[in-house]
This record gives sequence, structure tokens and C-alpha cells, in this order.
Amino acid sequence: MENKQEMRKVFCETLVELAKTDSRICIINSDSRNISGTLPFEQAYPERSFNVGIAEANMVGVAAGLAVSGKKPVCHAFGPFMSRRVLDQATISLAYSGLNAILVGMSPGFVTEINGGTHQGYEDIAAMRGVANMTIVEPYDGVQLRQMIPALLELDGPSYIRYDRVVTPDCYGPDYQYQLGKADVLREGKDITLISSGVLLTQCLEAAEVLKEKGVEARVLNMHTIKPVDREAVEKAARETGRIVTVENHNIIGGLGSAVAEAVVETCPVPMRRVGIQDRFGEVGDRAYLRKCLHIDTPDIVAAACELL
Amino acid sequence: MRHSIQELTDLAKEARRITMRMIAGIGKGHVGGALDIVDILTVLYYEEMNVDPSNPQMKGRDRFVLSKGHGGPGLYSILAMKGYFDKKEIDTLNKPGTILPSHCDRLLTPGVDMTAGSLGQGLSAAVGMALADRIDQNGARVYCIIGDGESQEGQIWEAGMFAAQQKLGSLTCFLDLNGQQIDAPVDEVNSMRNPAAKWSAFGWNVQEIDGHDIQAIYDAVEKAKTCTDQPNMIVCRTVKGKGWKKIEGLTKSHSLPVTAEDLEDALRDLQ
Repeated sequence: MENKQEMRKVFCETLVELAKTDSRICIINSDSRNISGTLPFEQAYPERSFNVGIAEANMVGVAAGLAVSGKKPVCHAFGPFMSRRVLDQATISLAYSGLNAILVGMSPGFVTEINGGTHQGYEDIAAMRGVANMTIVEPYDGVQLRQMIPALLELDGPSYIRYDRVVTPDCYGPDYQYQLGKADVLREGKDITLISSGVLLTQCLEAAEVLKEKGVEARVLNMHTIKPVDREAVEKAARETGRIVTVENHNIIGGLGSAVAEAVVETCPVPMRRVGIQDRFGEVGDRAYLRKCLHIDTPDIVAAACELL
Repeated sequence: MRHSIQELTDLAKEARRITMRMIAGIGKGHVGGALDIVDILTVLYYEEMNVDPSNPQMKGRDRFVLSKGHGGPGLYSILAMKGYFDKKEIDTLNKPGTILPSHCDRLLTPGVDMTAGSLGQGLSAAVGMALADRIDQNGARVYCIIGDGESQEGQIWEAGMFAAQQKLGSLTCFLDLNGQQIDAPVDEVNSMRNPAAKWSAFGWNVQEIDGHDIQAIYDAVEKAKTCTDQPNMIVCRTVKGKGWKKIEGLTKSHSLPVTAEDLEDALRDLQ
């Protein structure tokens, strides 16, 4: 039977477990405790749990102060607010200051559904990618997320993690070994490579099945580390499959597609298509509706691949 | 007090002379806001703070955040005098490869606890440091200086609300009320109206003093130590450019050229 895990539960459990042996770990919420699901951490470590209220900029500044004093703060907010509202604090108080904090941008892009355009952040990766010394990751399942967190805590600088909080089927098995900065091959293929991260990998895997019926063997890469992007994996995909489609729950400007394109043109130029948000804002709707209207659904991926074949 | 008022006054004058030499060495800089915080810094570093210049990263030390990061040269002069780094570094201000950049940088300068320069961010960091001290139960205190122009940034007030919510009695902030910002007097741009009343309404323990009166600064810091359940705001009436008479209180003192003749003029004032 398929194993499923609630992602935010995985996140909190992992922090609680790590905090048993690492007294430096702190959490900060921005009136987001009920969204982040971090109450168990607060109950276990009340002296290391803070809630600044609806004040994200202050949250990141406070995190910087904690980090200066040797703590490892983990900040929580919805993705758009953990990027747009704190860009200068993340840049100056954290990255430029050489301080480690994990910025958790919950519910990226369309997965906020009926919260609509104001809460659908499609520019968070673009904003954070431009910040020197900022690492950006996006897990696909609970198995990966569980291994990601300790890797982020060991970095010399800050990191931004965008992830979907909800119950998610496991993609990886118990033997999975996560490696920051190294893309995972979810499916082998020789004709084209689909590169994505986070929730839309499901649509990529579906698209690969559809393409198989057409006689096309599509490789699927999980580019869970968006910065630094795995240039070796991109180059290998370009050389071996000759065509690349990126798929992202983000504006096609400045996100994963841009990062992959930069690597492609500098290592092995091949034809590419970028499936993603076409420089527009979101709107209210459920996931299925939004994938369709934003043109990030399985048929859109198949169509983009067919353009290159 | 470990030093007499006269000794501290003389130390502050020396720090101002070094500040002027530093800025004259590169020919221009943030003179006004560097000179006007020197008396506060003198009291903090010579009387109050538990720090060790030979071990800038000492565990459990008191910490200082210059949130108005452009006042860097004022802080560097005191740090140089305290022996955090070789005094010859003061001639390298803002020159390529220096450890003394215009705005404070924790990665470059021994003794600088926090990077600042994008205004409004330092008080939040000071709050985070005070929270870390509370977790560690080390009894350390955190000091911070914010500007009045800087207080136009909303993050200052976010940090202010939260510090009071957390009852951070170990935090003492100085508001450098010099009344000037780049464009014009603060009251002409976007006035704080009554800063003491504002901070009091935010739940802080507020004192108002002359920010150049050494005894008053010392007394206010000592009094702040007795308040354990509220963060402390010491509203300091200051004169921007204090010490170099020609520019005292002027809007243009924020950042201006300093020639060799200007330096001589300032050093005469600071004898």
C-alpha cells in the first residue's frame, strides 16, 4: 500500500527529533503556528519557540540576532510573505551577515488554492535566487523533507525552503539518500528530460507515462535544490537526451526554468521549453482547476515535450 | 564609576578626533551621525559593557548593535581605542580591503556584533540576541542605538512591540534624537512627534536625557538595569555632528566632504 505523510508533520517531527541533541534549534512563527503545525515543538521546547505575530520582517531580523548568538532559527510564513515581505532582511541581516537561518515558505504557488492571487507566490524563487549565499530547496515528499532539514541546518548561510504542507504520497523508499545540490533521477529516459521540483513532479511523471504511449522515453529529474542548481545533471540530461522541458509552480521568469536554462546555455545548448506560470498572477480555485487554467497540468507538459520532438 | 566624568569626557574627545581623522583620510563620509553617538559609546564601552577586546567572541558577553549602521566610524574609534584591532587600521576606513567599511559589518570588524546599513533592521537583531541570552540564562545585556530618521522604518516598531511582549528587560536601546536626516530636519520630513510617549505606549521603560551628558547617560543605563520586565528606551537628545562646531546641528552634516583644512578645524574644536 502506498505510504503517505503529512509534510508539515514531518517537518515538525524532524525538528523535534534534531532538537533533542541540538539545543541551538529555535522556531519562530509569524501567527503561523496553526499553519506550520509546529505546536509539538513549542510544547517540547517552549523556551526556544517564539511567535512574533504578523510581522515577517521582524521575524527574520530576530532570527538574525538569534543566529549571531549561536542559535539555529527556523522561521515560518506562507511562501509569498517569506519572500516578498522579507527580501531585504533575508539579504542583509542574514545572507550578507553570513548567518544561518531556515526560512520556510509554506504552500508555494497554486497550492494555496482558494486563498487566491494574494497568497499564490510565483516570484519567491526569483527573489531569493538573486541573493548571494542563499540556498533554495523544494522537497517532493516526506522522505526527502526529513533528510533535507539537517542538511540546511549545517549550511554557512541562510536557506529558503518552499514546500506543500499537506498529506503527500511518498515517492522515495526507505533506502533514499538525500544529497543537497544533487538532482535525483525519478525516471530514466533517453529522448527528452523533464526537470521539476515539488508538487508538479507528479504531473511530470504522468506526462512521462503519456509520452511513453507515444513511444517517447522521458527522463524525469527532481531538481530539489534550485540554488545551487545541479549543473552536472542538467548538462548530462542535455547531452544524453538532447531536449529539456522544465516544469515549475512559479513564474517562468527567474525560477527553476531560468536556472536550468542558464546551465544549459553554458554547458550544452539544446532546445528547451519552460512550463510554468506565464508571467501572470494567480486566482482562486482548487488545485485541479488552477493547474489547468495556469497551464501547468499534465497535457501542458506533454504538449511542450511534443514541440521539441 | 570606574572613570571620572573628566576622564570619560576626554576619552569621548579622543574618539571624536579619531573619527574625524578616519573620515578625512578618505575625504568624505557620514560625519554627523558618527560624532553624535560617541558619548553613549564611551559610557557603554568604558563603564558598562561586559566585553573583552582580546576575545571579541567571548561567550556570554554583552552585545551592541549599531542599527544606524552609517555611524560606523564613531564605533570604530572606540573599538580601536579599546584595542579590538590595531589603531593603524583607522587610516584604512573605506579603502579597498579595509576591515572598517562605511556601514558596520560583523564579518569584517573585530568587536562588531551585527551588520547594519539597511536601516530599521538592527533593533530586531538586538531583540533576537536578547532572546538568545534568555535561552542561555547567561545574564548578558544587549545594547542598541537607533536613529530618529531610521525610526520611520516600520520594522523598528515591529521589533518594539515584540520586545515589550517578550518583557526583554535585558535590552537597552538608545534613540539618537539628532533631529536630522538626509533630506531635511526629521520633523519636516516625517516627524516622530513625541518619541518618548510613543515608546512608552509600546510598553517600554522610557527615560529622556541629554545624549551628550556623560553622567546622565551613565545614570540612565544604571537605572535601566533595575527594570527587569520591560525593554528600556533611552531617548537621547543629541546634536548631529557634535564636536565639530562648524557642522553641529546641520542637515548637511549627515554626509559631507572633509578636507585637510576641515580636519584641522575639527581637531582644534576637539582639543
